[in-house]
Amino acid sequence: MPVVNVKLSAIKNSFSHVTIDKIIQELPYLGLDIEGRDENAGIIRLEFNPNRPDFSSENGIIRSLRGLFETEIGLPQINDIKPTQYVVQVDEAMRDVRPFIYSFATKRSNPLTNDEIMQLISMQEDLHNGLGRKRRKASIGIHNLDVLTFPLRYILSDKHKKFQPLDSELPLSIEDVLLQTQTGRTYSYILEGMEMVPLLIDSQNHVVSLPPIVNSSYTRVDTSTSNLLVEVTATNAKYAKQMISILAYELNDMEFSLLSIVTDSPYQGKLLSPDLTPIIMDAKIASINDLLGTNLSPQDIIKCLEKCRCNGSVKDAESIVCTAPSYRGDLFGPQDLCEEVLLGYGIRNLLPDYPYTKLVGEKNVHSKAFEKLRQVMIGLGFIEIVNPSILSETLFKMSLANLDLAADDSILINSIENNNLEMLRMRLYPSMVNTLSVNIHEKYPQKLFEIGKVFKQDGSGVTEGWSLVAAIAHDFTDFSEIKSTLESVMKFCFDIDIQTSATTKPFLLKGHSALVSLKNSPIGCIGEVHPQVLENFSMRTLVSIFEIDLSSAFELLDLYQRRFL
Amino acid sequence: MNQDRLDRVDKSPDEQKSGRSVSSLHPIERKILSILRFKEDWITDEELAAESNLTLDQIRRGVEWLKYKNLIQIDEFNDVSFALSKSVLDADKFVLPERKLVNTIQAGTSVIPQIIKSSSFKGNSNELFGAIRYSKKNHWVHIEGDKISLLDDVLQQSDEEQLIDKLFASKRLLLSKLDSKDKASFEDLKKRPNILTLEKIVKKRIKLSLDNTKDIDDLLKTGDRISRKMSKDILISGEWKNIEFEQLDVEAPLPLFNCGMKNPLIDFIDEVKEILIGMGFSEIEGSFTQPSFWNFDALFIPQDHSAREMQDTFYLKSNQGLSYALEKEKLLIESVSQVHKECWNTLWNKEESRPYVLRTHTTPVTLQYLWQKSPTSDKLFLIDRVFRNEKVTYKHLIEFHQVEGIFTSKDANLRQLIGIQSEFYKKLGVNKIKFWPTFFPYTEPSMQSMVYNEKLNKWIELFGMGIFRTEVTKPLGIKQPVLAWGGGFERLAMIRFDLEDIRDLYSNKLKWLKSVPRCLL
Repeated sequence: MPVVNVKLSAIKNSFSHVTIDKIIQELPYLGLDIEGRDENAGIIRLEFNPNRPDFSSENGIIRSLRGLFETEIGLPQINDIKPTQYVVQVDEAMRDVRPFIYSFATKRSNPLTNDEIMQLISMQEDLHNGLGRKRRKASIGIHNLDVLTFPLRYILSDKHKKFQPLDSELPLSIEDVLLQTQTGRTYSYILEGMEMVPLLIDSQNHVVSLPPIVNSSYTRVDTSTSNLLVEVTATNAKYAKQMISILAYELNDMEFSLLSIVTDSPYQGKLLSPDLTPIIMDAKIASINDLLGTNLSPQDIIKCLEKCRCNGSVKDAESIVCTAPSYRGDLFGPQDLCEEVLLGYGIRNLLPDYPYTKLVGEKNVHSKAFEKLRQVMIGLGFIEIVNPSILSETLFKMSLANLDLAADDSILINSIENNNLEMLRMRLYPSMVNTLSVNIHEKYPQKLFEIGKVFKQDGSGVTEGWSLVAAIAHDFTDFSEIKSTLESVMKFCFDIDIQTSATTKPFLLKGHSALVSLKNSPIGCIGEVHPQVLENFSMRTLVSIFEIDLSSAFELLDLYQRRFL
Repeated sequence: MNQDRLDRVDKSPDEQKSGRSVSSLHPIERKILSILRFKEDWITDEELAAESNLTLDQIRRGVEWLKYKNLIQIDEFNDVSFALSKSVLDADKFVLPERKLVNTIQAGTSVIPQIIKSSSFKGNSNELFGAIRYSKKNHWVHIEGDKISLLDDVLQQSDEEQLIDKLFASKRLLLSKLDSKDKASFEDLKKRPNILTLEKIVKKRIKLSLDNTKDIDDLLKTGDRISRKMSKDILISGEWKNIEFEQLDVEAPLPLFNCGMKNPLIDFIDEVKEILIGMGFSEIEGSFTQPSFWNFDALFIPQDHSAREMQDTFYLKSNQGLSYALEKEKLLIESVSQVHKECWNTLWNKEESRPYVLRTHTTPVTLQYLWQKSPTSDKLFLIDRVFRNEKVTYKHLIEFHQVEGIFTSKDANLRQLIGIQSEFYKKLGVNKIKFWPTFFPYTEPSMQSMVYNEKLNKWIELFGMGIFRTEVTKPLGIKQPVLAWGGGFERLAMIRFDLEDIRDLYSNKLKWLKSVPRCLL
């Protein structure tokens, strides 16, 4: 989750009557996790959820807190947006590339402070990664308005075009920007395979930005800049508009005056930005109360919404209307309003209520069966182990299981963290032998078992089945001992006899291994573990083992159909 | 373990602790005491072994126990063990020089110069003069000038000869065991070159401790009627009626047995299952491998969501190719894709729903159940495995368990969700709880529970929860609210088993598996 730094002084200055500790206590009730508090630097680090990108700045968080403490309720105030003659002309060619661009300008008499620049950069980064889906869906450029001459043009350009990107000493061709600069290399995947790339230029042909990669050095913002151009380009209009709204409110809170810009698009027509038209939605009073388990009056509900910086009004006897700031793209419908009401009401004011129903609980069929099976295994002196479903191919090969199982049946996993190829286990015994090998310093005899899932390819899908593996390790273990065990298990668990017929398995000693069948269907194998396997695992004692397919056994025994009486 | 137990049988229990009155005798102790009882003098361990028919090893152990019980005294003394030298043993027919002289005279040579030259002495006058000296001492000869004549005593063996004969017979003798005559002969022979080989040794000898003779008598007497062990023979013969049984050392710890047992993690999972069943929840189960559709799309997770990236999720592949057909879900896809298009303002690509993943949560199983059974009222849970493509650390595993539960009913509400959680945590032993708002793509409102852990002395995040979004439930055909909660299970297990490294739960180290107590209430 993204993290934002908030100055304790900024919180203090926003609330005259509430102590800072009281406010900090309340932060989690806004959905913010306190990541850390640094008294020296005078900041608190807050983690926010991806559904609230408006929390990506100090101002955004304080705006919400002021509602919660009723210092300022209802829709946040925004100063009048002054109309301008500024236009961004969109080329038809942008339609299939990165079709949307929204922008606005801001003015202030005093230039940006260093702190404000840091805030804007950090916010821009969070918005890029969250809403912008790593800039693929939408990206932001903030520029020095004073160097630009309108109209701007949003066009497709070839990669030979040269400009001086931000933080570069020299002009570079777009091709070189993508290949040689840090941000170019990081984000060039978004423009992959494109001959022509998006470019924003002003009327003097100065490059403004190469969306979504980098701004031009020409429009660079620093502590002498007091007038700004904010532009968002996007493949997803909803995300872009939400970003524009968040930035407009942010700059409004920084006491800039907002100036509108027209986007002139051949496929969208003329659009005025920033469009801060609130989101309006109805909700039934009864459904809010039903879902929360409360009995709030319409006025109570409106009060709660206001604390969440929304406006509310009674629509009719049954419904209210909620008006939310334009940046609340996370509100899809009435159910989302319940959460706003909940936040305004305060979760801790919601008293627990236990639902008394006639429902009777029970375990599922496998849990029940495995419980009995475990009892028998434990009675026979076996200790249960638990191994992961994910098996490294190295262990698989060390166990010689690869010589027995068809490679085409195995299911592989994309593993990012290590270079080892990993797979879903097709048998339990490789990890069983591995477990024995990590316990060579423990007392023998060792008797271990595991009940677990095994996986294999089935057509274009996967089948999962339950399997039981048991192993005995000591200096004298042999086929008779393990077969005795298996026969006891089957007899005591299911009152059934199994058949064993000689077989050859690469991981079992020849002449000391057998196929296990139940009602003439093969369900597993049994034998003394092959000395090559023991050597591979550096075992210095003998191991006998069986593994049986429980799912098949249960089918054959009709266990899934059986009832108590 | 059996070996340990066998080893202990021969050990006197009193060996373990001091300062306790002697109440019983081990059979070895009994045998040694009964021999010592009738000996006035010291006796060596070898002699004891010979007399008692016990092995020297048993004798030595018994002696140690008895010494510890203060019933005997032990003395260590120096002794000399001696034997005939190699040259004596190798000689064809060895005789002492004085006997050789007698034999030469008997053969007819009686004048000294002739005797020196004889084949017996070969010109060795020193040997002859020595022989003459010893012969005179033995009263074997009379000398007049150069001539030696034999006396009657020549027929008698000398003391030295007798000792040499004994040595031929028994190979080796101890100085301490010789009588005074033999001792004198030993001293004499010791002085002569090349006759004896000597070895100094330290010997142990044993004697009853005199102040305890009465105790010993009592011990030996009652011992006739004491048995160390109950046996089948004693039972069947009825002998037990006349026998007292030895007081065992009932306080000493004994070795542990091997014990079959459930894995602690599974055991704890079962305990939590019991709690949930007690609260009316029924267990469901489902596949670990899920198509993206069920793991993500059906949960209203947009197709461009970062959770769907390979960095977070394990995608499955195989040589033959894996792809979910989405056959059964034909109608469901219609409504799910519609919801996605409307809310996320993006295209919905069916192909993105086909790849198989290792489920990142258990929720797809819950959804499938709701879709197939369309319950109007139900309580369901599962505790089963989930997978995340993360770096394995002391607090993260790529494969772990999740506990998840839902309650659905016409009038299910958020207060009930809080109520269910409070009840559940109370049964887990947690009483201080608070709920904070949070975000999940598929629930609204969403909350997380924080619980105060007494062991760790801090608040910890426990479960996420909320009410399923109608965007999730409506396509499945569920009209009433569904309250859902869930979270990682291993964190609970770590607290339960006092572990600091989550990987320990899956290490399968027998040392740990055996060390976890099974009956913690």
